[in-house]
Amino acid sequence: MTQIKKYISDVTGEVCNTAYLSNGLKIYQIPSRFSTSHALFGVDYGSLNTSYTKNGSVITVPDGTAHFLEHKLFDNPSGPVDDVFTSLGASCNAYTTFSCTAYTFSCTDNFDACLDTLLDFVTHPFFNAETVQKEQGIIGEEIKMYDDSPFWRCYFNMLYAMYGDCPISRDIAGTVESISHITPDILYALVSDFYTAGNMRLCIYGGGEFEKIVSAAEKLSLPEYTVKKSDIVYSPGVYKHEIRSNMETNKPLMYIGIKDDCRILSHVERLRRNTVFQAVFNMLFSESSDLFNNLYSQGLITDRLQYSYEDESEFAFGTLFCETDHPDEVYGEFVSYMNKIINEGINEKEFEISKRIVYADFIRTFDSGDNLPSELFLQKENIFDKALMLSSVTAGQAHELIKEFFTESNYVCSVLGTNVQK
Amino acid sequence: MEFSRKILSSDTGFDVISSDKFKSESVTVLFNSPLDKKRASYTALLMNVLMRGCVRYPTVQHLSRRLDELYDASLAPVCFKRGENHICGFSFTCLKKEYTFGNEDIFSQCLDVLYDVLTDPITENGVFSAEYVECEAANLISGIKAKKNDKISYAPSQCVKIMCGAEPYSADESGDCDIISEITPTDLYCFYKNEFVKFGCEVFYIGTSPDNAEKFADTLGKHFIFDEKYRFVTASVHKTAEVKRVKEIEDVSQGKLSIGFTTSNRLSDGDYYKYTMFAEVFSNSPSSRLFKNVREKLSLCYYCRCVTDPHKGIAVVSLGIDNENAEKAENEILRQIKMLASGDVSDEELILAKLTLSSAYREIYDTPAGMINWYYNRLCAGGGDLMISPMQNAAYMDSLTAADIAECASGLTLDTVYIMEGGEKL
Repeated sequence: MTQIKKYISDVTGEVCNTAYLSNGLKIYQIPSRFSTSHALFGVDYGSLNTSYTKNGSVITVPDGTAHFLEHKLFDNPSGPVDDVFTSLGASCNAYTTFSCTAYTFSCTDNFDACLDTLLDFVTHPFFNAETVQKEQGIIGEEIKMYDDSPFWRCYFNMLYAMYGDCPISRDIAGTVESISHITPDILYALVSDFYTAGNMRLCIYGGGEFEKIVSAAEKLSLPEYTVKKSDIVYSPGVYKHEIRSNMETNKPLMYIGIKDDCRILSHVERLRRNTVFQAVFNMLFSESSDLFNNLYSQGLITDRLQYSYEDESEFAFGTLFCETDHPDEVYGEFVSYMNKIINEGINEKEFEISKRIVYADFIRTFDSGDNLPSELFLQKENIFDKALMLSSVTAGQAHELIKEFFTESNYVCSVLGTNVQK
Repeated sequence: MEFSRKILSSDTGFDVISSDKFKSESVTVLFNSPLDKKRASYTALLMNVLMRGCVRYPTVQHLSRRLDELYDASLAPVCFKRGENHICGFSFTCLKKEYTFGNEDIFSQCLDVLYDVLTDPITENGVFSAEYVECEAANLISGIKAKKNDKISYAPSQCVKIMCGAEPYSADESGDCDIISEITPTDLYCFYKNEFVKFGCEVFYIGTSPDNAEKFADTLGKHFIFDEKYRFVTASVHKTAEVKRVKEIEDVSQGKLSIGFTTSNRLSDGDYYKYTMFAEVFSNSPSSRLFKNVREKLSLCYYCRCVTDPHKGIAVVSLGIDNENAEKAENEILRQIKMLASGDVSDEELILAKLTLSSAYREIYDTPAGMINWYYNRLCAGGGDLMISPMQNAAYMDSLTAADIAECASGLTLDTVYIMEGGEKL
């Protein structure tokens, strides 16, 4: 029996319809007032999952297979799926991250037909040797495009510094070499092993009647989830504290990574930690912070610091990014700033304002619909909780978390630019 | 969603896009002047110096903390060009009061901040702070040089520079490094006091209660004495003498091919919707000629896009390719244009393009930036009869035929082929 529930946000009045199908598939819909509806059908299967156990034996697939599969599902026996969406006046897209693959569409009309198309193409693969080979050419160009992106390279060097050689530090699209080993059989097996009801969620912002959406999804016949993903193995601490790499850039790029060795398995707890870190990072590194203003007034940086706390179920880390001619000085300032915060505590009023910023940021997600389905996919039914999740968190608790997380032994630094190698 | 525009007593245009869809309200103030390398350099630097502080919020930290208090209201400078007009200004967005904890009117407080930033900058010895000007000049120069890091957009911009090198159009919206490095605090302050105040000024409001924004626009307008010489200009028409071919070698693993064309259609013509339709069939969607043939059929690239400046009347097709495929890709792109020019357009292609565009026009209503962009573009192109809504424009699509597509395709003239080849840099 499908279970249907409705959540209402105390803050915005928005409604979130949810359905748990008996086969395990979960559906979330937030109706909207915008012309465009956005839908996402996603699977908890991403670039990290290159190894899993099936019927007692371990199966390994080439790096980049999840992303390759994402591209290839767009082929139908009758032609590319894009054409079907175009004929409905809609557009479709997809993306692969470390731990998920998501297929999306946006439309202003024909929502029901678009939804049927989405559900159909993601669950009805069609591959052959010829189309796989052709895709190797297109993805090869995509990989080369990323190879030329200094930001992307600098980012992956930071991951490598934190985790060493493991799936986390390998390019999501794989390499030209690794994808050359992908065959139609590998792709078919992945769909039947991972594109299963309990491993997938359908998330919608806008759309039509919820009952219709649910009944469209109930018609799907999805395999059962019987495999087990291999754990992503990495050691506590970091692999290397610094990686420098030469590539021509106007100014060296620099990522500081802070590896989070605290592995929390409960979804709700992880969400809470993630949300607290959003407030903390904002307080510590935004244009209002002493660190930014100190670096900027010394001319060590010329633009705002970009910062984030990234959280996947198997790993988490914080990042700080800037362009600078003086990476050593920036790193030194960062370390002493954090030591000062750790020793002296944080300002209560500033933390309260940062909590308010996280709240405002949440309210604004409803104004830009295209991000909301992916938020729903990650947050699941807790989406409205996020608005007030921080209300009970005190500055003292945030300071304890800062002391635990910002440990110098877990810092790494990735610098990339013209002749930056020492 | 309704649009209305009026000219306030101070010659400031005030535009209201009334919509209750959003949880935030926003105001965008745009100043325009004819594009010129020197003036663009001053204007871009001025915006950044103004953001450094005003008398009430004398540092970035003070200003940023004030915005944090206002529920993280965003206040950002903007700088761009529309044809041969240079536009700069500020845009802010804040939560509507019903979403604040104490029903706080943060919108008026944001207007006060913006007013201070624009009209009451911090000064030293009667001019801008030397430290701020020096630091912002260095940052702006660094930003201009950093554009080279992103080869995907750098390659087509190089193509445009080669194409329109001698025209005002080739000026960068952020200005010119050599000029910026020479600007003194006194120069910039004189520019701010004597020239900037004469620029055209347009204020956009998006939300449900425009009264405060209108008062703000009116008061702001009193600081400005509009001078006719800063009125929107129509971009000069670029003439192709002979096809230019330029190859540069960069340290990239994937080459970039950019092909520049002049177009015979411009937004100011009034029937630009024909070209929009052509662009859809030619390059913009997964069902387009370029995607279907250059990417899917020939597997030559991952991305292949065509960006058109509707004011200047130029279009640049750009793609990432292996060095040895450049000629093959160029031939295929030219072949597709030739086919379209001969009227070889199927009914299906027309139907698909109309469907996609009708959806795209409706999507414009979903974002404040989309709406501002729509109307401001039309204002730059001459205003008047051009000031129709996206949906009114969509209605014109129905009558279009293969002959209209052929007409636009025939209007493309090959001008410049720019290749950034991967390899050891010379």
